[in-house]
Amino acid sequence: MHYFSFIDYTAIDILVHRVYFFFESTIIFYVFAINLIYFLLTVIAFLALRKYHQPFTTAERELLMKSPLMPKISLIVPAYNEAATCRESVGGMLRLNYPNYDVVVINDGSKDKTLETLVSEFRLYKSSRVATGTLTTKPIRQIYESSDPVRLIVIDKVNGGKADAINVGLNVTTSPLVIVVDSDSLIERDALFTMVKPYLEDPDRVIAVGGTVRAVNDCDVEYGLVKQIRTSHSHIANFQSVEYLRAFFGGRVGFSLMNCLLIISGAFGLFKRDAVLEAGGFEHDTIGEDMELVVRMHHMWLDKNRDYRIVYTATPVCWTEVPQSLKILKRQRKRWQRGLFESLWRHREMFFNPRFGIVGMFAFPYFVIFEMLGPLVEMLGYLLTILGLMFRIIAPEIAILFFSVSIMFGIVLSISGVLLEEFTLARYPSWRHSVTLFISGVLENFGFRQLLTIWRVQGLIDAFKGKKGDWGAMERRGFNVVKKT
Amino acid sequence: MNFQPTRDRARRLGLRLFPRFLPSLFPSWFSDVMRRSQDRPQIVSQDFHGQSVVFLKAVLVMMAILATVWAMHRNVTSRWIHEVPPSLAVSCLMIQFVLALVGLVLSGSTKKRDQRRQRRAAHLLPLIRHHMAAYALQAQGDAELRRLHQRHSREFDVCLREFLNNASGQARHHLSQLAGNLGLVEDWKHLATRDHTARTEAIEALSLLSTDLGVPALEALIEHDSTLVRAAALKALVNVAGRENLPADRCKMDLPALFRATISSSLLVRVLLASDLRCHAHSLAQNGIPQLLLAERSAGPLLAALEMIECWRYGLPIESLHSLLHHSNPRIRAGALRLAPLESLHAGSNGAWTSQRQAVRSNTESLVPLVISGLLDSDVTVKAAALSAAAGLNVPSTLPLIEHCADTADQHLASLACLALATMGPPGRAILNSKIHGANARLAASAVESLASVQLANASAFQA
Repeated sequence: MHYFSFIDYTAIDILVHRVYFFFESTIIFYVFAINLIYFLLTVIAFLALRKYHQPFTTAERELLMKSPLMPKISLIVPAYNEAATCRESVGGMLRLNYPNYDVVVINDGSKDKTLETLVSEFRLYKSSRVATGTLTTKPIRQIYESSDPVRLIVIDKVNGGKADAINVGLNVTTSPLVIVVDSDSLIERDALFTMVKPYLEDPDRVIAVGGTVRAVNDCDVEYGLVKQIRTSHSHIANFQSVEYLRAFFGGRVGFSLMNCLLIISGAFGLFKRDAVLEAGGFEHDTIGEDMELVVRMHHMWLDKNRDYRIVYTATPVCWTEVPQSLKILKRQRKRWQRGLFESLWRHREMFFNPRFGIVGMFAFPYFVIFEMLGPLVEMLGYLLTILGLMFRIIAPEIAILFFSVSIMFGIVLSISGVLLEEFTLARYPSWRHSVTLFISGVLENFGFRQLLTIWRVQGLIDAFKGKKGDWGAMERRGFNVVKKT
Repeated sequence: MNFQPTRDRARRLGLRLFPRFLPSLFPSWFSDVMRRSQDRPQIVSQDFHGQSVVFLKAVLVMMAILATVWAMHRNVTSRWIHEVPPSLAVSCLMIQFVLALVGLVLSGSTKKRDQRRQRRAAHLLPLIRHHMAAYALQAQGDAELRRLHQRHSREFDVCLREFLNNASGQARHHLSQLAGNLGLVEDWKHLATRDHTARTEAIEALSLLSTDLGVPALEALIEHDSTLVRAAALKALVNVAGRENLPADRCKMDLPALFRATISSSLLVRVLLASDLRCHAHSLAQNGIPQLLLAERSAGPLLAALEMIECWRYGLPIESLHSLLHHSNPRIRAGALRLAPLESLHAGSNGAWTSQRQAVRSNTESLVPLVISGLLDSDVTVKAAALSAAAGLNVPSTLPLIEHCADTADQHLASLACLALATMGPPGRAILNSKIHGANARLAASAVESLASVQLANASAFQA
């Protein structure tokens, strides 16, 4: 239907086709590049885990357990409306194997009975302890303390957000090392030994250590510790299990080896207290305070030309309840994407800046191009293919090819993550669980991944709009507690 | 020719490749980058070599995969997909898919293999043990053992290490020779496995061999790139040095040298060796530690040595400690002060109870001026150490100074002072009681808490 005779429709047609194929080819190359980088990181992770993954022997653990030379650690646990799970999770944290540690729970003005539950369950008294740190925070109402060998300190404060709660914990504790843990998480019994190992090996340079987070849904929990590891009955939880494996083992090991790790999970990360105080503590204004702190530490330390290491260690595992409802998951992913954008935007000075070494030239651009803009490009790819089909610019076979390539890339990456787990840590005891994970790795690419892409794009749009964050509260199902006989 | 990649060489290479006009375009940026790269400390990671190997291997694997992808694209996929990008993507995908499948099969077979090995070990270990016991007692030759080693080397290795650990005298010598003849010592020396437990056991086995075989191998392992292997080697050497009086020509590292090597190592090594070195604390206090404390100039090893002595909890006569109390570094002064209560306990191993008590008292009196000077120190770390020393020595003359510390604005110091007062018997407790009724509410709370915690500690000690 050519309405105007003076227009050369063939030329327009050719132009449209050319522009279209330029975009389509760019997207295919983008997917190709991201796939190759992921694959390279997976190969590095495989080789590095085989070389460096050396858990302590039983004799060594006993020596560490008895040694007064072990540095003191404070577990900093920010809590907001956690009455349902805090008894179990804090109880588990008090039963860890480590000679010298305490647990600092910060009740960030909870509206439920979090404080009352903690005070009555652990028989706490009002303490004379005061904050000695220098970070500016919302006021503390009262500090409670237990007189047990492993001390539990509960700080009741005015609501100020998660970052503010962690900063209060940093101000009150005097331990040289702190581990930030989510209050709904369960830590493995020997996790502190493995978490502190990089610091023990290089105490002068290591300023932060990241651990692994896994999904606890439907695992058996006894006395606050994971007793039996198994996959969940929920597909959504299993999809996330695979996603976590891929993210932690695939990406972080490689980045850590290059000393350009930009994310340490807020659910489980060890920091040198002095270093965090020097960096100014966790940022209140951002939603991804964990990533922001790590990027800021890189920024500051590289700016001052100081030698340092921020590392990831695969063995210490923290189990956390992942959302099983799409509504909560959507909220969580939108928040994460917003956090990613905010962290990267704040430190945009580092983008392709050779002053910041490998962080500026590789890690930061990788996060901007692939992690932040990735969902946008993926969605654009889907849209272009659909439009191409609708306007008959591309043949249906090419469209099918594009979709299948994109899905198969996802499947390969998910399976690589599960394989890495199988070859290195092999935590899932039965082959049935491994098979479930493999199947989930395949199935997540049909719908679930696309859903995540849409939510991440929405998160990005929220970030552009400047939407502010909150505590990101999640509906708790509670742990699968084994009946005590 | 040395091909070791160094930062300098890389920088030179980078400069040569760097276009000459760029500095003129971005003068401030360029000079900033250059200044920073020159200022950056020239520290090469301890495991730089290991990390480079990992990267090199990964890059080689990727290159091999890319080459295969390209070959597949040229020869297979481009025939039915004419566009280049989708053809390349499909080739890449197919290769990765095959790799993932191979991985899956390998994962399954590894699990199966482990199960099979466990079953086989349960069946074979008693048999090997039986023959090994007979060999150790010289009741049979090594022919059967050689046969078993050839067929089941893994299980044989486990049994031999077990036997070396438990045998002594002639039997151990005999088994050492067997290990040497079968080439197991070489395997242990080169740590042929990645499994850390097996590595540690191999290092332990080396320490149990006759010294000619084991000690040189252990000394070589002190330079290993894994901290845990270094720690295990040092630990094994400490055990050898403690067990046998080795002549200098056969063993380069005596106990003082091992102590020096330990405190120069990372915290992990120190933690793992502290209890083994503790067994030799007295001999080290006479020969090794004093010389080290006097000669060492850098703060790191000095602090490590002080921490190590503190964690031994032994009353050691170390005269050179006193000189450290005037050290310019406050952390070293604090470390030396924390040892004061332990030092006072040294009363000699001989003599009657009363004379030993007398010695402790005189030691304590000689340390009091040092503690007082610590309490008057301007540095908070030193003051805190002096408070714990004063509490440990329980000297009434320090009470006014401790009370002064309790009244300071520094809450951390004040609570430490309260705790010290609570442990110092009735005079200290009297001061705390007066604070409880004082105007400073925070100090009162701290006093109550200190009294309660000391009471609790006493009660639990009484119960124990």
